[in-house]
Amino acid sequence: MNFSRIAALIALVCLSSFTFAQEQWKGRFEQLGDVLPTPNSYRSASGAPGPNYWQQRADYDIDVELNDETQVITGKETVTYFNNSPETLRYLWLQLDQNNMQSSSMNFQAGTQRITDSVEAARFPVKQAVFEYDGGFKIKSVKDAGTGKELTYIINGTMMRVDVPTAMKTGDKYSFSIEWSYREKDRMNYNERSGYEYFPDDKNYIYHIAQWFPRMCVFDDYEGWQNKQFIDAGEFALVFGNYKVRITVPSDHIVGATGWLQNPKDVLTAEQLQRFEKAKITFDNPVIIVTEQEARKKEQQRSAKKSTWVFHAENVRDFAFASSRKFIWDAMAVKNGTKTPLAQSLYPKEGNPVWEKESTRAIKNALDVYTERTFEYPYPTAYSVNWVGGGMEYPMVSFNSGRPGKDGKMSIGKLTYLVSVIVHEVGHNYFPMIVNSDERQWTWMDEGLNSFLEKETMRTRYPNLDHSENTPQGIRSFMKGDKALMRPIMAQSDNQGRYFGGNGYNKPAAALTILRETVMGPELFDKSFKEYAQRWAFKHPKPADFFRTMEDASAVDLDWFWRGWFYTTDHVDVAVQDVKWYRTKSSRIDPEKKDVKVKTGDLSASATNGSATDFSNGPQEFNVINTDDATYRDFRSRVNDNEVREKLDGKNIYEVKFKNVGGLVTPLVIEWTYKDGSKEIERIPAEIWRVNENEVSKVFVKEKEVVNIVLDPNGELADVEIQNNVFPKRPVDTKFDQFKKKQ
Amino acid sequence: MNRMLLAVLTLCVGQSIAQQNPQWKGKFEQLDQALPTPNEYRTGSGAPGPKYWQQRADYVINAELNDENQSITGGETITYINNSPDALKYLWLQLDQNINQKDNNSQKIKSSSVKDSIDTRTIASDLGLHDFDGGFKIKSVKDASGKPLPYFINQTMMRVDLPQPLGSGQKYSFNVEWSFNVNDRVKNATFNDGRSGMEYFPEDGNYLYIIAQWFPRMCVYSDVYGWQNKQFLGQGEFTLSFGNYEVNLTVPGDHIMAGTGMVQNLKEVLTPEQYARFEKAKTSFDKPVVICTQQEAIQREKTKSKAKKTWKFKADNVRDFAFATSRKFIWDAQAVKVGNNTPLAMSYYPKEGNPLWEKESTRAVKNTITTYSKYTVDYPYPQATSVHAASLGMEYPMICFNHGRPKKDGSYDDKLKWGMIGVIVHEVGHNFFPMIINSDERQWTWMDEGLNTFVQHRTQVENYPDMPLRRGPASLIVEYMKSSPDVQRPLMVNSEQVVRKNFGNEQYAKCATALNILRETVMGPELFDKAFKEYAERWAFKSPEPADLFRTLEDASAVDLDWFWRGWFYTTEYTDQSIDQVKWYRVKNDKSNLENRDVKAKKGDLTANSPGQKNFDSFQDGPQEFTLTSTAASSYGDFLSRVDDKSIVNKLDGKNIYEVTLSNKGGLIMPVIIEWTYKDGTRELEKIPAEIWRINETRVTKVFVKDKEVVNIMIDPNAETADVNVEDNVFPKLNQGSKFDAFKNKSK
Repeated sequence: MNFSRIAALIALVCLSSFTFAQEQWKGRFEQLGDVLPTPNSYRSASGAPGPNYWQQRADYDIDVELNDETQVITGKETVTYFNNSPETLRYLWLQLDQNNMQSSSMNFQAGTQRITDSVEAARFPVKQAVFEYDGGFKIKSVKDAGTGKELTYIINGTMMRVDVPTAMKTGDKYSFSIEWSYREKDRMNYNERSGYEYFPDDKNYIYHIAQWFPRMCVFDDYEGWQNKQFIDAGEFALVFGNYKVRITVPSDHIVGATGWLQNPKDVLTAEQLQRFEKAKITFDNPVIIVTEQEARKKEQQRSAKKSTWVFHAENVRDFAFASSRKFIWDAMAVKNGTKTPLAQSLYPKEGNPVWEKESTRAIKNALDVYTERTFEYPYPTAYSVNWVGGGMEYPMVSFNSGRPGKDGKMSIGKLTYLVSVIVHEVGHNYFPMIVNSDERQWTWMDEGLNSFLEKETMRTRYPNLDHSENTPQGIRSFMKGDKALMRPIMAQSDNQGRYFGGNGYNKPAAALTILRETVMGPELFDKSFKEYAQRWAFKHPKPADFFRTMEDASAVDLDWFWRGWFYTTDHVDVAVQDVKWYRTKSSRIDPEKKDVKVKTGDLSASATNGSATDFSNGPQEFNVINTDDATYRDFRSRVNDNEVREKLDGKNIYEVKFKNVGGLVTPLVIEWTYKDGSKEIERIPAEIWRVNENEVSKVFVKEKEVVNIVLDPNGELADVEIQNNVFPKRPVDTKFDQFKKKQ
Repeated sequence: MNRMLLAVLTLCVGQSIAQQNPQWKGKFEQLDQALPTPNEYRTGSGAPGPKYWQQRADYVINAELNDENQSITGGETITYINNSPDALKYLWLQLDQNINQKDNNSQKIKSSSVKDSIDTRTIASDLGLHDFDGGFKIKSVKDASGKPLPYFINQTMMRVDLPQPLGSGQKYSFNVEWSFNVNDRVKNATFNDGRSGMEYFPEDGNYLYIIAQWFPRMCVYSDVYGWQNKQFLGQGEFTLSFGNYEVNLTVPGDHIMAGTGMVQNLKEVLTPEQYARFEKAKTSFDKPVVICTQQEAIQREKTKSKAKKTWKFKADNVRDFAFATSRKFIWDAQAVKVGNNTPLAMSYYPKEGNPLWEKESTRAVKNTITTYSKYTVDYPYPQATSVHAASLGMEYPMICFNHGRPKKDGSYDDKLKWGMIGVIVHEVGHNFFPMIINSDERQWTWMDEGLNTFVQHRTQVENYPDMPLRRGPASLIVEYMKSSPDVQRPLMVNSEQVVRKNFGNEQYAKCATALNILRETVMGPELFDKAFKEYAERWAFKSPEPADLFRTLEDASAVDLDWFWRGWFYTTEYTDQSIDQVKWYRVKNDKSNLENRDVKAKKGDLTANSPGQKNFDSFQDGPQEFTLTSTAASSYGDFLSRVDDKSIVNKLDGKNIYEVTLSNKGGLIMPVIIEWTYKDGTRELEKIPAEIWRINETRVTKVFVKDKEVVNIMIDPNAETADVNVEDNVFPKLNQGSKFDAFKNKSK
């Protein structure tokens, strides 16, 4: 023990003096320690909800009317708030997201712009100066639901504080009512998460209505009230609850919404009702409930009557809806574990013929793959509604863009986008609608995880569509960005600026891909990812809960990975710095001759060492001598010197030096190409860097002669600089680059 | 401790990298792990958690003051109540008087240097030349049955080992006997032990005692630090538990006493006449009633009674006990309405304090508790006392010692008067911070001094409009913010590590100014006052930590302030915003051409040197014209509807469009306040939230559309952001500071 400890100590001293000569040790393999919150009774060190984990609940009962003449939404809600926290609450916070559109909003006030010449009129940077839109909630009343007494409230930007008449104790519930209205915005002018679209040809509207009612803020163990202002980038933090919503619209409108339609008989024709019933048991193809022909007809004759659509939704964190007389409607049942949710699509004729073919099918594909990786889809339906400009998600309903040209045709690129948007937005049902992370704070927790599964869905269900933006290859150029300006993934959503998309979506998705394919392997990764999803389904996870669960369920220490990929802007760039090729000097000549005094020493000192740019100098020879008795100390037994030598005899021995140029520590994937043309892939865990984070040297023993060494041959490490990945040194393209060039 | 180190470290690293390319520093990131993780004791909202607990210590003390040799001898029974979930094997007590022991570390670690012509008082104090036998002499530590308890003393801390561990929910009583010599305050120019002691009046041969830290006091045991037994070194004050006190103090029979709590046997210690006056004071709300007159005091000064009297005090739910005693005291009192309470405001002073004290002291006490109650909690104690003491301001529950002594002829100037009122407001205000909102002074000076100085500022503004402003207004902190960064420390450092010369500038003034800016400029009075009161109400009679304040102010207001705490409390950055550039534009109104799609205007940056480029140094060259083109079909994507380009051009026609580039030179994030002066002489004030810096922390450009022509732009026109350099706050640039001042004066 003593001896080995001394030896270890000496080794340590040598090593560290070597290390310090190079670059400062940055502790890249240190545990995250107090970078993460201290585990407690609410959130455990294993990443699971703790024994005293709690979360609030808010139930809503809402009447809302959509005025198709004025595009005004008028509503009244009764919120029942359940205080499950162990704390006493003297006030409640609600979110008034529409106030984001007031000209006095922080969103507008803190926005920055520039004047450039020849700007398109509609793109003038100060929107308030050119569009006459009077946005924001008009709150008519806030009352105690029981007594009808006015409650004290104060509005600060997008947040409203309601002071409860008596402090809410643990376990209390409290009901109060709010009446409000606001004018919807034209999404052509404001590419927001909700609004209307106008169709000049037939003079009809499609409404995509969201953030349309005062919604409870989250109160939790980590933030208290999450009442950080909505300034557009950082999305929403919401609590679960049950919703009963009555939506009054022109009677020729079709409505899709969060939840299950309670009164189809009141709002559908007998024929449509029949089709709807049929869709519920049709698993192979979508059933058209409202046909294009019916929709076209309605476009021409405006009903003056109103109807009320009643939707109920349980255990959802939000409620959105879409309404239009232009909607075509199809639906299909999907087998999902023990459940059979209904995949439904709504779209105007302008979406066809692509939508009737792709939308409902994409919903099904998303539900299939996401459920396989997480949990059964717990809701009765998932809608995909057509709109313009990106995609946006709500529980059970999402708004997705992509329409064919007037000729009904769509390029493969646009189709890929459309399908991936539907997969992505439907996928959001899992993250964050069910695994309910705080979007205001961390975009990556829903967008990143969701983009990863979106990529997995595309990879497995749409193998013919090229979708590479969330892959290690696809993230390389982003990782090369200006370090002075870049932000880590862990930066708050509103502080990301132009890195919002990269850090929120692509980089975490690529990182998770590397984790799955290279670091952990699919089996361990999928098990752990599923563990995370199941632990936190219908709960509020924080980043540490994810980080901890992934390690806890797999026994893979990933602190180095989170540290590098999520907390820094370092990138992967490993260089094959030096390769030396050795062979042992055939020592059979005089193996027993003890008086051959070979001095131990570094072979690189000699002039003919293996330090070359290729293998043309052939191998350098070196001696393997007998083990001296003295080195055995007290051991009486001996190693068979000849046996060891014979084992190495004629072998090709390669000493490869790797340099970590980018800073991000990474596993090494090495491809050996032998003289006979065969190849071998060797994988070395990232821990090779744990002692020297900047440069490591390793010896490989190969039967065959090597002609070529490539690091990261398949581009799975996101190594940004591939020129230094090969030996012998020569200019190269990755397969990915070659592929891109071909396109 | 660890966390602080980390914060400071990060700071250094950040600065060294930040040389050329402005590195993103995450100034708007949430504080997250810079704050402790919320738990069941302290919540994420900044409130006491469901399992919040705190210890309690009740005291019964009997003590006697020897006026002949100025010493105090006492015995106490402490009943310690363990409300913590932990079992305790030992208890820690504070022996603050030990700071006066010859071999105490506080003297050893005091740095000193030799200067020519140094005066005797200073050098004697600096080098510890007085032969004062200070410190506690502990006579015994015994359990309730009289059995000695094992203990050991480490400097200013004493550990008492319990016979059995004290379980959660249990209580334990034990006795301590001690004595100590009272220090002569005139000899100690330093602040170490200056908080209490005696003053000798050579003319009449009498003493005035202000006595504090005079008995072994329980340390705080908490969820945050365990035992707070960090040594008392002089600068970091006290950390104490709440409890009930019964204190019987024996003093010369002609002394008048002031103390924490109410005297229970006033009839025994006062003359019937004095007692009647006291009863009258309880219902006198408009002005003080003199209970012991100056004439009576002068009489007592001469007669020097040899008899003894015992004054019996009782105080509930206080964290400490202090008293003052002298035969020189004049005493006045009046009642004050505070919510449902009617506490007494009282003053004790020798004739040397008059005529100033009889006029101002009790009135200042009243103003203080009234105004503080409005901003925090209704004053809960039965009385608040201001005691006259030379060259000092020091606070204890219900009682404080304050300076302000007129010249021998009774005259005084405004400076002395305002100084005296300021110190009374401040020290009486300490009843709220830290006596009720019981922060850890040993660790965080700003938590009581800063918050207290802020409410002091409000009290003075609201009650003494003529009083010169001192600590609070942004403009008055500028000199400090500009001062040498070498000796500046962030507010979030331990009290002992604050550089002495900046102790007041930082922990008092900078913190108070930060809160004042928060109220006036960042949050607005309504949100701030609601949130600040919420903090006070949540933490009254509890022990808050910095995170509890930071979190509560956000939780109650929905204003994200992490950037503010980060900048003002965790760094020494300062505000220096500048207007780097202003470009004046107008839209080229070429309606005929708008529809003319073949005009190929290249979209580009107008700042590029092109013919006809305007000089943007001033407004003299007039506006630069730029072109709005019709919106191409392709830029609508799939939208079928179209914007009316013409109406947009019409809307912008003739408008003055200003593209303003601002930079943040000081590093501290602040809102941007812009004053526009128009050609017609009118002005407009525009407030831009600090979040404008959230993406680019050093330089931002923003476009403003104005109907009228602008002749002058100024940022921070009312000096509310503590901008250290105002020369670069105006456009067009002025060459000299004097011009700027002239302009500023005009604009007021």
